[in-house]
Amino acid sequence: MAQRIPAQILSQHSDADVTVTSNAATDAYADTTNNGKANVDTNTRLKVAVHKFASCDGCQLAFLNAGADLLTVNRLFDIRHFAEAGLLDNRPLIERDIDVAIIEGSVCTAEDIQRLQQIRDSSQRLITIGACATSGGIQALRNMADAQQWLAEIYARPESLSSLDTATPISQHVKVDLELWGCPVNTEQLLHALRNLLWHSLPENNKDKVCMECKRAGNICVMVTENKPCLGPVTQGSCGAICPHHGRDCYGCYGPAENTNTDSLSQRFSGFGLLPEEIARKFLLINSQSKPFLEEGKKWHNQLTSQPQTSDKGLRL
Amino acid sequence: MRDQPHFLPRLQLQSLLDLLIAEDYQCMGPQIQSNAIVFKPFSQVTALTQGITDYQDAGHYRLQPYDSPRNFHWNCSAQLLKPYFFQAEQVLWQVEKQQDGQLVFCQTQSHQPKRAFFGVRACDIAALKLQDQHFLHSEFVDDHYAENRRNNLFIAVTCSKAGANCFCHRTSDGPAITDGYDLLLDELNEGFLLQTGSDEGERLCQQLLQTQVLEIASSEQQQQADQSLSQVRQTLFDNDDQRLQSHQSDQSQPPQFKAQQQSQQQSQQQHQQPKHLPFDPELIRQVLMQNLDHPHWQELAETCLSCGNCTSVCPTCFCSSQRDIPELDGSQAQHVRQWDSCFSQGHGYIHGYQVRGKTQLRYQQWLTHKLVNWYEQYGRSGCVGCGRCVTWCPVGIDFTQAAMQICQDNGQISGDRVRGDRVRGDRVSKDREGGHNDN
Repeated sequence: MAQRIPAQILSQHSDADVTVTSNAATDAYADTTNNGKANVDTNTRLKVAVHKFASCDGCQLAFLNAGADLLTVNRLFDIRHFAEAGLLDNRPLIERDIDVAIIEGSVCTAEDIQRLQQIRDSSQRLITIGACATSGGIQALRNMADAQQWLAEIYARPESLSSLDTATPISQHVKVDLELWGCPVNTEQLLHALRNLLWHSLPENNKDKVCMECKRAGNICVMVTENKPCLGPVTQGSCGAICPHHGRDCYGCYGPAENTNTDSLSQRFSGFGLLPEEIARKFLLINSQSKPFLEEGKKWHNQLTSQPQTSDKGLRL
Repeated sequence: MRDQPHFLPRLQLQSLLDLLIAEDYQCMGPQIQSNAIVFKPFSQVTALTQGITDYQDAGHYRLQPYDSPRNFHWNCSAQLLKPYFFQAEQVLWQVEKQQDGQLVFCQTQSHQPKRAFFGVRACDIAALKLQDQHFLHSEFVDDHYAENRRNNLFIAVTCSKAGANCFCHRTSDGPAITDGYDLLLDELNEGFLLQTGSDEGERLCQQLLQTQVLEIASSEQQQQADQSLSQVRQTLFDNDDQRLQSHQSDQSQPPQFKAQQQSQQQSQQQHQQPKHLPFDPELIRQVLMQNLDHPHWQELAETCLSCGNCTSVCPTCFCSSQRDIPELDGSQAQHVRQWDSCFSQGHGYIHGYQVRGKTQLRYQQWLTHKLVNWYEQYGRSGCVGCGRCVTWCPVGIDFTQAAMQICQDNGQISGDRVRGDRVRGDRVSKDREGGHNDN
């Protein structure tokens, strides 16, 4: 299986690196933790565990897709648990002594809540990666619907499932130290955060709009030239504005930016001829549980339900 | 008016290009990309825009066919010179960690090729002068900008039409191009009138003369070029009058800024309101700064997305932020400067405190810096009338209309003033000396 290959790489280098006691990377960590003493035992590496909740695994893949940098990550960090990469820590969760827990996915079952609490209790720091973990993800669309009815409609034997009626972000259950947004997060974003952790600092909080990145990249605005309903003006960057770069409108996968004016933007979409249901769908998609998107989406959704539409693409939320 | 003009037949434009390429110039010219005119390297004139024109309105940009062999019959490209000189992202320095733990810093040097820009407009030249003033002629010279500014050749083209968002006549930056170019072209159907504006331009012109590429311009051709320019100027003023009449007839209505809700047609009607600025330093400085609590600021804030598109496309905006991009292993890092905006969170952040948390304050910063405080810094307004901020605002906010609204509601601007009469500072009413509202 393809995803097992990095696992082998990781474990091989894990063995090899035990003998390495001085390299630029561990020194960098030593400088900030041991008053500049070099030759730190590699056992002082930060112990990392990657956990998955309800998600598509795309964010973990962003991690695994780091390529050669994975070797460096493995040199810098002691990766204890990363099931997707084949590394399993078999001790009970609560006994694990982890420095940094990285969480992908949202909370969708009662068991999730319990497992998450144990992870939090055994971890110094907790980082969430991706839309599911930070705002519920696409599965959180069920929060606005009758989840039991959906189950009954989709599954032949819904009674065999035990899922909550809602999908909720990690921060709704435990304290989160750092949230990395994106669907999925990108590798640079993740590695940058890891690098900063070694320095005991936080990566810069880039809540600027996608538009800023888009213009810096020299892209042409798809709203202005093509009336495309782009969410760039209310979405935070770090994605590199890849959608507008390829001529399509941003769909907000990096979540809301700071100081968003969703009202003005959706009025503009309305001016472009979008129906209320289409505007609601723009906001209630990947980051539907983030406050600004949820409120704006609901506003247009409510307009939809109060004025029945003739369209056959009815929004079932 | 035209001093010893030459005529470059259309078919000989390639000869000019070949000459520049032979002299190691990388030629940058207008080309179509993603439904807009952008500047990219080219080596054949066939790559240039031709038979095309642009239509710009607030938050609206479209290319349209234009039945003519002309290459430059459009007004304002999406971006032009700024990204080449004040780069969107630039590595300022690098730091490396040595074996002994010592940090070694080194300034990065980028070496740019000689570049020739075809199709630079009056507003672009005016903006370049302002950027030069900021990066080159202030107390500290910006080495990176200076490097990028070396060895550039500007082949300016006089605008042959006036766009709906153009107002360079209000900022005294156009439409005529008076200096700042190496070669100046006036485009006619059959070719270009060519004038020189620098030693390098003159040298190139002499070479073209030696190879008999240039002809002597006829008086008819000169007349045509003069007429074209007068027509452009007339259109700019006609647009003012039309918008003013439309605005005056709309006076009873509340300020209309919800362009978004309107259909394309309605939206265009709304944009027929005054688009030009009362570019009197005294008027702007006193009225705008005395009316920071004017309710129109709040209306603007309700529409503004605070997305920074206006400042990014503004050819004079120079704000930047800096960040470090470390290598994963911490062995080295790059210190990068990137375009910032007064609409961003970081721009208003000082240690532990956000001074411009709300959009209203950010919009005020943008408008008052551009139109008021720029005078203090650089002796003139920071606006060159290109209209890019109006065109590329995703929700179609008209910067000039915003300023007009605030001035006009205070009875500061009569029709005469809008048409261009100078307004003296002592005529500015003092009855609304509002303080700065920090809410």
